[in-house]
Amino acid sequence: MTELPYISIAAEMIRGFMELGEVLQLVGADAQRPDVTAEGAAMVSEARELRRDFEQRMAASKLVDANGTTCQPQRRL
Amino acid sequence: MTMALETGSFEYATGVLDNWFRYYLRVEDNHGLTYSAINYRGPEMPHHGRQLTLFALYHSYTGDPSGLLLKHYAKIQGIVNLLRHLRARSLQRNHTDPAYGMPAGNDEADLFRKVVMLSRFAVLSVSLTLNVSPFQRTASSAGRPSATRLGTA
Repeated sequence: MTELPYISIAAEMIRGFMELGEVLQLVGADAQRPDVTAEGAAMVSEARELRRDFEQRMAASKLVDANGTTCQPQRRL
Repeated sequence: MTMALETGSFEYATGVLDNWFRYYLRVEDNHGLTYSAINYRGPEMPHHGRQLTLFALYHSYTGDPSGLLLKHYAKIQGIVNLLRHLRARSLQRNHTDPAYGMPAGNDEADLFRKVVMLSRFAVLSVSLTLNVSPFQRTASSAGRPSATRLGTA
């Protein structure tokens, strides 16, 4: 099994936590389920934190070659 | 399900989602971590996050009149728990590591038996496909494997 820091996991997690978190807050309020509302709020907060890290790490791993081409590196150990 | 939602086939979309929750997601426990696994030969971690977006999309289109999101809330939480676990694990990396905070996991379900070792980021995302060509040129000039070669390793 690959166990890699994989950028798409973070990207999809950010979007999923943000969008479903907002929905769960609505669902929890309608159903009078404070646990669901709280979970939704927590997910939105976590999505914001992850997005901050995501943007920082994308910038930290960026390489620019001699030709000015920008890429995100990958290579074997 | 996305197609059904976008064409207004809400009854069909409801059936697809309910079927997914009932028969394709199972709750498992691994040393105290309760999470939802997909009944497939391997996990594809980005799609765990994608599922959450689709659940939200279903609610935004239909209002979820059948209450599927609450009915299957435990399985939704199982997906959230799994992603949180990956995120927490990634925060144990050294803060100077470019991968700090970035969840790690299987990127492609069909490659679940492959072992690929990378040192920094693995950018194989479909979302970034347009960047592959310039990356391959750079990788070749640096003597590194291209994304294509890596994917078939």
